Amino acid sequence: MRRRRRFDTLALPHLAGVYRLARQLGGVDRADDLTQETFLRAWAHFDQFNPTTNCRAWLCRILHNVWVSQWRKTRLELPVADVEESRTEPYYDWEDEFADQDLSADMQRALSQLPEAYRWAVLLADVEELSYQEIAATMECPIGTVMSRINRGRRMLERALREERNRAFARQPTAARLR
Amino acid sequence: MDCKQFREALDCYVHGELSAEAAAAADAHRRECVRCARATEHLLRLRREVKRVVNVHAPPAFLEQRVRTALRPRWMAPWRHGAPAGLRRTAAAVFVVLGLVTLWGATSNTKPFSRMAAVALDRVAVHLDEASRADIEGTVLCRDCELEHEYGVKASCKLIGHHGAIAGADGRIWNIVEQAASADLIHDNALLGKRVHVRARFFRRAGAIEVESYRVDAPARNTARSTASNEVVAKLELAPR
Repeated sequence: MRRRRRFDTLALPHLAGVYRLARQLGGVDRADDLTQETFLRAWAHFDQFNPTTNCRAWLCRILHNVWVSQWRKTRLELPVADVEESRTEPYYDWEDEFADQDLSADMQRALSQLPEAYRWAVLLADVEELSYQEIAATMECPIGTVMSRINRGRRMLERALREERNRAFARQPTAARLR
Repeated sequence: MDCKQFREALDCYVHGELSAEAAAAADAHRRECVRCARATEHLLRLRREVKRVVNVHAPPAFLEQRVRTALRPRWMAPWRHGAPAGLRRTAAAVFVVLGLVTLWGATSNTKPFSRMAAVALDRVAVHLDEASRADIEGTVLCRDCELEHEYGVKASCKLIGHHGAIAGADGRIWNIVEQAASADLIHDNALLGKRVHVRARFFRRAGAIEVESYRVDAPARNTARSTASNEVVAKLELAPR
């Protein structure tokens, strides 16, 4: 009983956050299943959770493992990004982009275009706001890899957004473009 | 700190991962350099947009209840992914004791043990299966979706719609007899995930209930609209048959 109460207090309040991440990983069709399986697995291994650590980060890690194991059942290999970059790149070409534009319409599409490892790193950093150390534990990789994935993921995101913008701009009539 | 150093540390800077001295140096450079200040604002805005786009999706109303139901019954939960050693030992001891008792009953000269047990179980079953009126408090869930989740049944809810059922506090799911009074409980998707109080006749062996009346509770939390005034949002009374 006490174990269940602790689980209800510590883990279940993160259901909405886990669902949102699950939706980004598996899409709307699989988000419910991923969320439920995450909490079932969390409950089964709740004795291993250290209450002094971040429960949300722990759930994120379980969610990722659930997703990976489900992916392996249906695919031959994980959608890991082809090349890992070991160092970050500066944002020299960023400051004049999208100054006053509404990004939200294209953001979801751009996010879904990111390779899984980079999308996951960006989501954990920007949505869950986990520390680099927590992200490294969640993704089971060194902090340096986390930093390069976040950096490269954001640059890919920015590039995808820019391409979406350029396509939308090209579709506009000439008069609207000159305005 | 110059522009190149600032840009290389920008990710760590906006994430609050720089040391105090490095963060102070970055702050100072950001105040002095307009281009780096704009780059920082741009990155912060990108982070806000990512967060906003992801957070716009709310989980379906029934998901929390589905997860809670899946976590029940509590004593069975550890078996889902393999029982811990303590439970395995306890279960083994219980089986050994039961086996010994059965053996004693079968070999003793008194009334056969298995017959005594069967008669007792029959009495309990008959008693439980009296179709009696009772109230149940539970959650409306889609029966077919639950079967799909638990047993992999191919549900056709996407084609023909959900089929409502009542999940009680113990996790058991009660089928609802199709009648005019229960049509909304079965077919109204808006009721999925809602807490309901149902007065019904219970057919335990069939796992079914015949709904006489029900009322729907407003969500207890997580919504700004949840107030005492709208706690009861619907009530359906049946004419006596």
